[in-house]
Amino acid sequence: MKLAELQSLFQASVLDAEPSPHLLARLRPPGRAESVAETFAVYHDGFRLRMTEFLANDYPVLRAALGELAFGAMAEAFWRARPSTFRNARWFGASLPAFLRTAPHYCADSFICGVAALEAALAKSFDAEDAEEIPISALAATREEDWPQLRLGFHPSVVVVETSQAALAAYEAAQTGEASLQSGGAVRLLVWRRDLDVNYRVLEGGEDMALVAAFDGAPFGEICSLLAFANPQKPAEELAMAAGNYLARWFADGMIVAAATAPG
Amino acid sequence: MTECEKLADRAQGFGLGLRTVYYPDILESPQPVDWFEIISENFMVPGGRPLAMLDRIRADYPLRMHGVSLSLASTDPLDFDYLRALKKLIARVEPELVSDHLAWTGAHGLNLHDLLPTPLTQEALDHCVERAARVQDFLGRRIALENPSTYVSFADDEMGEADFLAELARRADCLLLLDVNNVHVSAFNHGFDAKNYLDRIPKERVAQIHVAGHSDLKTHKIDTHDHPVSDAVWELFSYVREKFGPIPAMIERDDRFPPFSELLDELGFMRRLAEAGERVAA
Ligand SMILES: [Fe+2]
Repeated sequence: MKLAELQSLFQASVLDAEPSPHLLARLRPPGRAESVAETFAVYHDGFRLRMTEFLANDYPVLRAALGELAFGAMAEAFWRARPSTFRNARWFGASLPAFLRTAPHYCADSFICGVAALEAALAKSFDAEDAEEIPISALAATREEDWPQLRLGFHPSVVVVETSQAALAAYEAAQTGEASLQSGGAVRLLVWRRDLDVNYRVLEGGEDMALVAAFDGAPFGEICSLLAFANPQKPAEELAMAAGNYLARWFADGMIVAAATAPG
Repeated sequence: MTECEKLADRAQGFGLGLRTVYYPDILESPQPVDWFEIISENFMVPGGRPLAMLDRIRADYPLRMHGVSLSLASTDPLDFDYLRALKKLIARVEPELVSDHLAWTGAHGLNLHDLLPTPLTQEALDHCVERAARVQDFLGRRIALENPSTYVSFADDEMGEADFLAELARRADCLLLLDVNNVHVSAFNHGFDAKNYLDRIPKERVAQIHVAGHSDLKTHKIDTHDHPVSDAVWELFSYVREKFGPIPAMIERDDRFPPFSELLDELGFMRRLAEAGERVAA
């Protein structure tokens, strides 16, 4: 049997529920173990344990919420649907939230989907690319008429994630070691890293809208117009003030790495 | 010993695997560890804490890089995205040694994240030689390949693993990382003689030694790195030191982590064992 064929057969025997008898027939009898199936199980069972462990490392709160058995079943459903094509195990679990959102067994569970989304966002922010933050004083020289063209560049670790109140409460309870029984609807979180530590806070309506637009590269003038459309009853100056406050906070939190007024 | 000799000695010396649980101990005060070995993939990430910690520790200690997903023996094409990322990390770390395993990790584009055993055939040898040579050409340096722990062997095998590795090293002009625990585990699992295996390894090719603990399931042993090193493995380590002389050696620990001081005690034991061997040899 050619090497490529043998590797195909070996791999299928790890992935399938039972190893192929054709493969087992090509293995030598073991030194002491009863049968070659017993030692092949080191690869077969080890694979399942390892996939589950990778996911548990990235999703400890989800693991605790589901319990060992249900988490193991979810892990198997995940690697069967999305087997790892990554050299680095770090990226294997990154698409778990996307899988859960479309998997019939999990998609209706906003708590489970919310916990997974939250933990994936924290992991993504944790080792995202480095970049130097800039202070708000970088805007000091901006002329008043140039402000509408101002565009911001965000730190690569900035992530906006949709989760649920209950998922957030479960995550926070896990950090403090307390139980959480909270329920509640959807909530959007801003996640970012500063000085190597990952931070997060809840995004409220106005800031959420402004941030998503700024993140997409919209200039400051467009962000103010968006806020005006969404809040027709509020005076323009008040909204411009609010937009300015959001911007100041993003700088203060170390989330901004570039600012330019050049049209583009 | 002059300052210069001390430095050279430290570059040989005795190391530990760098694991995040021990960062607080390592950063708090200088530790009696000559060098650390990193798992390369753990630092093949865009940025953040992993790389920041790596740079801090690199400032104080020599490092060696150990990969787990080169997939040398796979019949899939070499992954040059992976090799480019590896080369970038090599440039950052400037390691004393870059190593991976005689193993494959998947086929048809999948990765099972395990060190899967290769049949020991002429076909597999030719395949590994060609790939090891291309990897070294791309990286612009020699790599060391480690003997894995294996749990099955193939009816088609045409040679022993030690002979396979010796030929691979000679023909690809690469180095070897000799894992003494893996020799012990595989010898137990397949019923071959560990010392005979070691006798067939070309000493001039061995650039580093691993020892580790394993799990004993009575009918077979598993390379779990979650126990202290066993007496049988220390005995083999002494045999290697007496036969091969001083080679940089380290302990791998990956689970059921003891306090750092316990690992240092184990490293101290390794040091004394090696030095005792040298006194006997002298
Ligand atoms: Fe090893």
